[in-house]
Amino acid sequence: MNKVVYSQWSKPAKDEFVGFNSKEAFANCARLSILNSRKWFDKVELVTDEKGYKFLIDDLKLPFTDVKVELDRLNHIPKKNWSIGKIYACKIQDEPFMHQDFDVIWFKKPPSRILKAQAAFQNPEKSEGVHGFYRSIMQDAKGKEFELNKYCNLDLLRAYNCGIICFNDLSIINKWYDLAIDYINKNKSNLPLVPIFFEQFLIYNLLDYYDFKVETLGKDWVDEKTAVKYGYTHLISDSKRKKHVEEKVAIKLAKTK
Amino acid sequence: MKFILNIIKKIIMLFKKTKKKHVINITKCEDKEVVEFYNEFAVGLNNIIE
Repeated sequence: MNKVVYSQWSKPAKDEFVGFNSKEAFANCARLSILNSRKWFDKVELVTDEKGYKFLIDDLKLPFTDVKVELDRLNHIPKKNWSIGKIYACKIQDEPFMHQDFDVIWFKKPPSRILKAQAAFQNPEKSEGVHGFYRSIMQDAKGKEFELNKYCNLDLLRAYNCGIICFNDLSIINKWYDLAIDYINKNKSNLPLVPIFFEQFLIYNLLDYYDFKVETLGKDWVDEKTAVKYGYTHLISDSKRKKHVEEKVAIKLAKTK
Repeated sequence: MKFILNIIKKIIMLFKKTKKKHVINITKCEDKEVVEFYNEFAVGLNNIIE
């Protein structure tokens, strides 16, 4: 595996900061992530749309090695289905790759068990307490005629955290996308978090259905010891908006240049 | 009096336990809040700080 893919579908974005406090904070973290990825991978690709190109390339000049402007074709899809951009970015790949969120940084080369796996993710999600939000969506899907029902165990809470999505075997990705689109087209519920359902829950079940050998960085979660061992950072949600984290990212970036 | 104190202690213990659990109340969610649910779970902060 010698390729990292980042994606940005602009339509669902609330603002240009992609969950960060400011344009500068986003730019710093994205640049730090990309520069580190370039240490370990020859190809570091962006898949985005026209608006994303203007922002990430023309404006921020982020140092990707390649850019694909493909995601405008998703603009007929309601923006609440935000994760479909990420799945589409995976679908159009033609060689082994790791899809990485902008708030994920590899300070060390990813371990070979991840890079060589048939498929790999950050960690499984199966805690009723933390990930119980899948339950109402799973329940809602029962009795409906979603294609994904044939592949998913709607009683078992199992998903993969998709901070990283690695595939050496690309054979299943078209199916993932098609099932997600079918779900999007048929889903009439207004339940929140459906994008996480057809991203993280669906891919877990699909890989299980097709008996993929899947590796994960952590077993239930990536604890600090493991994260330090692998040089892996994922500034999930609020953490990236904390002032002291923003400052540390900026300092780290200055040292990386 | 002792009975009431025990009840209060139990309530406090219950509150503490509840506070520690990262339970997600999806009935209060909106689509725009999508990834807020993971908010206490940053991974590898030490890699940034060191």
